[in-house]
Amino acid sequence: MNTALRAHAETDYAHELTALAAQDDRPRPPQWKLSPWAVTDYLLGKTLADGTVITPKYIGDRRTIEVAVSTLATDRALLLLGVPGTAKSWVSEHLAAAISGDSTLLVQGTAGTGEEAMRYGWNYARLIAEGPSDAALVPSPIMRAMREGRLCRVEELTRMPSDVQDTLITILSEKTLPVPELGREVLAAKGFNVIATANNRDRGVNELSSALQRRFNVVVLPLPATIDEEVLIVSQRVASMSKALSLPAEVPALQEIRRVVAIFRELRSGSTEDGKSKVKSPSGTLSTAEAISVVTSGLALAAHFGDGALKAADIASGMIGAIVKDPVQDPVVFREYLETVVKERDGWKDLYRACRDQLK
Amino acid sequence: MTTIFGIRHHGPGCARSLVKALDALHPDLVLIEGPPDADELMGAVANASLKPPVAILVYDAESPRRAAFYPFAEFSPEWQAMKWAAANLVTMRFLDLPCMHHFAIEATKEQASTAAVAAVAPEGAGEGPVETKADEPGSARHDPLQWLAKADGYSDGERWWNDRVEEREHDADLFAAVAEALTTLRTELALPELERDLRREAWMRRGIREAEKAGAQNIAVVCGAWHVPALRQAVRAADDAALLKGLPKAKVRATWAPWTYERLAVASGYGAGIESPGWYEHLWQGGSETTVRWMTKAARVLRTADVSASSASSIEAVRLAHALAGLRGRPKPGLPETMEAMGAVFCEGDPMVLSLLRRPLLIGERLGELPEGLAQLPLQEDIERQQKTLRLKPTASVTPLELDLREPGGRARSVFLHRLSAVKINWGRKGDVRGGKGTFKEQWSLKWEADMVLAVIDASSFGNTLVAAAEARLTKAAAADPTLENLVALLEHALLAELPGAGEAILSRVQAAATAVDDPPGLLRAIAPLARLARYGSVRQMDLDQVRVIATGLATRAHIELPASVSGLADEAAEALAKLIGGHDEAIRLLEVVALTEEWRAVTRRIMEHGSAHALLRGLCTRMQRDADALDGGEAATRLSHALSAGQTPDSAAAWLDGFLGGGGAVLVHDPELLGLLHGWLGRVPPDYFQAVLPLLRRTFSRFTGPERGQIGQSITQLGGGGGRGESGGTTLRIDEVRAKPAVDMTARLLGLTQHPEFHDENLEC
Repeated sequence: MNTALRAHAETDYAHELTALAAQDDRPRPPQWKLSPWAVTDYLLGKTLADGTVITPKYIGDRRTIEVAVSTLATDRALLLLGVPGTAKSWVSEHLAAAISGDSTLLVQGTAGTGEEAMRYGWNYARLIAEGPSDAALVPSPIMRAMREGRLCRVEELTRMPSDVQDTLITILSEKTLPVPELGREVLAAKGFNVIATANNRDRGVNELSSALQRRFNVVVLPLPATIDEEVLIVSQRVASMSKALSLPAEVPALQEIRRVVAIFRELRSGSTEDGKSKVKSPSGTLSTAEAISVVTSGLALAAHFGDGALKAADIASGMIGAIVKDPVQDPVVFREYLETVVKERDGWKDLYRACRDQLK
Repeated sequence: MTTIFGIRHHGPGCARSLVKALDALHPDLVLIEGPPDADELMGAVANASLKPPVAILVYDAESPRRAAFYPFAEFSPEWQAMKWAAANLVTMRFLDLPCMHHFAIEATKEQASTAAVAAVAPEGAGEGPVETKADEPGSARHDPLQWLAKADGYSDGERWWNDRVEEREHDADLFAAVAEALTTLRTELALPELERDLRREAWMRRGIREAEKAGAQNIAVVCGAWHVPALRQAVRAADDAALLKGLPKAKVRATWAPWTYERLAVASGYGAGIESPGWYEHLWQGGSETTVRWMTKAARVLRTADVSASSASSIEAVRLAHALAGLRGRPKPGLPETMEAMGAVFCEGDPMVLSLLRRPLLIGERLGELPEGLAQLPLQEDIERQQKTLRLKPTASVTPLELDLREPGGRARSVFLHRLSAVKINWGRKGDVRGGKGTFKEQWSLKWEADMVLAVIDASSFGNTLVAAAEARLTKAAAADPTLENLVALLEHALLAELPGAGEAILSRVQAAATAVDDPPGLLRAIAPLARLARYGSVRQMDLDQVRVIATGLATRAHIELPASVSGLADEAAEALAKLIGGHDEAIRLLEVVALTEEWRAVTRRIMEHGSAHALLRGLCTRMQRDADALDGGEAATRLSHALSAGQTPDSAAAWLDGFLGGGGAVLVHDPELLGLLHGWLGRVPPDYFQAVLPLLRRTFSRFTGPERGQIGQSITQLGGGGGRGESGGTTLRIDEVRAKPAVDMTARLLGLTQHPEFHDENLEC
């Protein structure tokens, strides 16, 4: 058994990728492991002719994924935008896994990301000993992707300083990376492309220059449209994560997940699902990803400290942790929500009590 | 020989193929699915100044509310068929079941079920043949095409039809294929047929038979594709005759009306509406490179809205659209592909930016034109009739109008103008009534503009008489935006326009909305107009007790929450709140509820004493307390001197004063004690402080009326005692008489005055 805590997408879903590749008879763009149709199927799920079930990786609007795949097929760079927890990185990982068979070429954008992470660095011992040479050059993931004609992922693009972002301009428009020290350049092989992700909320941190912006096609990943969609996402992820974490607890009842999702949606949107009453929103984002972690941590609690079945009390602590981000305002908001909405709901008494007891 | 062409209403591909087919066939009679009641209108298509989009409107002469619109765009196959027949001098006729029967059948049905829907007819629904087209292929009601679409691997029928029919470039055997497909579909599906459809199809069959009998050799029938199998079916003439026997008749009128693309679109609720008239027009205009030209158009629209949409981006958008079409297995990019490509390339995925394209590009701003002298809409006739009786003549220049509501004539005009503005025909603009509280006078300025014809058409979809349209429109506006502020405004409007039906409908929503408002400014904003309504509504003969109850409830809530929201305000917010508080004070007086008045007095007192409340509000509330005689003169003076004492910052002192005096300067004229305090304060302030408060004070005092200022000036003169004059008050200048004398003498000489002693003395004393 794999001992890694979390395997790469191409490892985890290797059988699906192989099955798709075996069936795929449509034309493939150069260096693509699958045709665009098969990539779309891989992300959205399908049952193949030979009976292999391709699990859906992205649950939501089909058109979003189609635009993303088409963008990559036209060798334009793809920028996935969305608020935190809308599966941007998840989608980009799976796209890379399906198209290049490898999701590991990754640049993580942070305030400290330097140019060498985007272009190339040097092995200084060698540089000093031998002077600039191919052997002394340390290629960045992007440079490797260009050489090999693969996809490179750039996570959190807007968190990088602007000057570092802008190194992408030449790479994306000229498809070349000059190395002036060696008097050469690296030409991108066919199949090279970039998938970047950025957070809608902190677009202002280091907003993209318009020169760079126009080299990307932008696809916005929305929050799940309906409660059923969101419940499906949460239950699917929770199931696969509890397997990975070897939690002995039972897979939680859909009912429990539905409650968590409903609470998150209502607080996020500022209105109850039936639209009848207004509720205040707390300061956090309350993404689907957080709902998933609330349920898994509840599962862990139930497994290790409870009787293995997910109870309201197990969820309550995780939920309070997710909702109360600002120690002053958020407890007020949540308490108000508990008193006005949760308390009144049929069959929610246990959850109401558990939350109220823990929200001190 | 009879050839049946199955088309889709407003399908540009169908239209193009149809014209070609008609050219090839050259029939001697063209029969078109449409209301025979409007046969004599068809000739007008030859007139070049009848420019689509236009619609044929058929309405019941006795009850114009019952009406049907048959809109045509340039790209509608029916329009092209009429054009073709007119150009080739071929006889044409409408073939459908006449509206006179539809209306009569409906009238009998309505009588049968005397439901209380009478007053307010919801748009579109139940209005007869507007929905007759809803059973065409691709409509939401059946969408039978989805079966064909699924068989072809498409997700929905609309898309399938667009791909296979409207957007194809070769049209060989198109109509044969359509007929075959729909025949199979209708036979296999065997959906329950509606009675009215059976009747219509029987009528059409009979029409064709009669035409054949009358000697037409080569007939072309243009009808919705759905009907093709039924028209081809061999049915005995006697069976059809039995179905059509003894249909009741109503008296109908028909007319042309200008139309807009906006109204052609699905968005405006028309049954056979199309998603994007702009796209269809683009397809109709044809030419090569559809996608490229569409994308360029879009880029140009976006550029006018300051979105950077360069040619380079257009290129990328076209590429993406093609890739998407390829991925979806479509022959070329359709509307969804192009829009998604634009979203990703031009708009950074932002739906707000993409929505900029809706009106100019997707819908299109084209509006139809009628030649002079073509008949008008019933609503317009109704309006013109009333204009005549009320002697209000439309002119293109601005005409001022003052109405006295105590006279019946004045009131009738006011009601008429309010009703017009309720249906968004903004002929009259209501001016501010002088004095604010005058309730029996209204100021209007009237200006008739050309595009109001359009407003009339738009309004006519709500009803064919002004009252019906106004009621329906207000009710709909209340449903669309049920915020309290909007509802109250609408309620007021309904009252002024004397529309009790709409008034009641809105009132029921007011109650619900009132509970949802929880911020004090929102509450205050809502109370004032409600109070006005409760007070003056009775004049307009409407029962408004309920309004009073709601207003009282809101006021109580506002009183509870207000004191908590007067501190920590920025100056602008404080000013806005002060205005609301002023309005609320008036509202409380209008409501005349003793308990409420007392409550309000307590609240203003709390604010007055509230140390951290904004100074402006404290000043204002002090003034209110004083005006309500809740303070004796002494307390007002104490408060004034406290607010103006040296410990206060200049800003705070000036703001307090602004609040206190904001309502007018009369208080200073009549209360010498206050004036004295103020006067003294002003004399004491040090120069720096004075400089800081001067602009603020100037602003406050400049709001007083001229006479007020004059009176205050006089009072100050008296205040200073006999010799007191000017800003320095009563302080005496110390002048060395001996040294001053030469200068005074000189000045006197220069002015040509002879010296006299009184002059001397008086001046030296000051």
